[in-house]
Amino acid sequence: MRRLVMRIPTLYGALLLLAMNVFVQASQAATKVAVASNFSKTAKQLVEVYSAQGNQKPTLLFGSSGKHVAQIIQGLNVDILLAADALRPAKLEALDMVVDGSRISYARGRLVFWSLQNELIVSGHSKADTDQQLKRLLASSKQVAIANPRLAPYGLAARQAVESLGLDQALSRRWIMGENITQAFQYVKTANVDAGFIARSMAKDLDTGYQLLVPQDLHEPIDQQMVLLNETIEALKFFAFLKSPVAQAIILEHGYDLPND
Amino acid sequence: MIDQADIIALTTTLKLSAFSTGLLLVLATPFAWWLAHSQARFKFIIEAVIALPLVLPPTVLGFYLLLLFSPNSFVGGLYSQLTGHALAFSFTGLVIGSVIYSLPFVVQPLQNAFASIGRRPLEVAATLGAAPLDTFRTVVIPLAKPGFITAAVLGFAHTLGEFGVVLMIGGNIPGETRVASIAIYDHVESLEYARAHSLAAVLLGLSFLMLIFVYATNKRAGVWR
Repeated sequence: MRRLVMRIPTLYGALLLLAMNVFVQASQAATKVAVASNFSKTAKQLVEVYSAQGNQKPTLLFGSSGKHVAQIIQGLNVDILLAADALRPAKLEALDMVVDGSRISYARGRLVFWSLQNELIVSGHSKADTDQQLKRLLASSKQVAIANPRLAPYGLAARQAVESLGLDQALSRRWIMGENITQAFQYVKTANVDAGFIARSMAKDLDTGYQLLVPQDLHEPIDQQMVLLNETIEALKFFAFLKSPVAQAIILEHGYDLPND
Repeated sequence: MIDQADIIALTTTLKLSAFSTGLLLVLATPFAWWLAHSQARFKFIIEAVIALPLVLPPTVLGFYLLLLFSPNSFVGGLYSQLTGHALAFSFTGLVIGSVIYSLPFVVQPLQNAFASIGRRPLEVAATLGAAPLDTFRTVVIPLAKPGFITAAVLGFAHTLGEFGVVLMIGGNIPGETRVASIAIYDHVESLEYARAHSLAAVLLGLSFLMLIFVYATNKRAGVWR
């Protein structure tokens, strides 16, 4: 018994070394993917399906694309970046930090206007009718939550839509800005704001209020792009999977369009 | 270097800190007095509650405030019925958030200052015929002056650095809820490091000066607890 007690430090040390070794190996082997926050739910399911096919499970890092790009420039080692826009992957490409020719759009985001007021006047289904409805809903909202247009592509698209409708002057004092699209969603969800622009990927399970899909031609397309940063076998394999019909079906199912369709 | 928008953000920050500190001193003084002198059995529970903002992540505080401010909740609903305004995304909402966030930084120095005076000077004053409020004004406040200065400056400086709570309940409205720390965050996130630098340097300088002031005051007064 006594001898065992004396051996505890050695045993403990050995165990620690073993654990560290396993950890280091695991973190070296798994493909690391930086994922834009708005795409996190979809990415999780993509990884599930991918690993169910017998592949090694990639590690996902969630965050804003602006932060990810800054971290990658400062030396963060990831194999793939799934960004929320085209601008930030292009920045990495300009710095020669990505595999040549790997930059490609993987999803196109759609905007939804979500209003908690239920008084909706349905007057028709033509494009002009939709624009009119959106105008009416915007005009009758006390405040409108959007993602910060300086930081988030969905915020930028929302501002473009409002400008296209000629309401930017009227609404300038009523914006409530979230840091990202998720926060804009929270503000409406908790009823602190009575309306807001959210992503269609978030609108799927909503049961309150009224949702209107913002017509595509009111704003620039929200093309989300990805880039490959390291050409390891595992990374190449997952990158190819992301472009496969199986992956595209999952992306569609989560409320995104496919680019150029 | 610093443009108009950043100056507005800085002014909003200073205004928020000033309002919150003023309100905190008024609220915290009787409270700290009670904590310093009460023999109540449950006192330790109150002390723990007051210290909570020290250890809670600001996002937790911000999240609960967001739920509390919602017109669907009792407090938020009552407020918007009485005033016609909502609490979230308003300057008033930020002041409430800051008061909670900086509460321990004001209560604790005051409580220590009051406790260190002890009962003796109060008893002497009472023997000489001073009314309680008189004693407070002419005995307690002068004796606890370093405590008041520490409390005020720490409360002010801590509100100056507030970020997580404002991010949750602010809504980034220029002149109302866009404070300097949020503006810095925006600049960094959009990779405009030069603008972030100039605003950050101002905050750094201000905070440092205020802390220098606190330590210098306490050194002169010979009390630092």
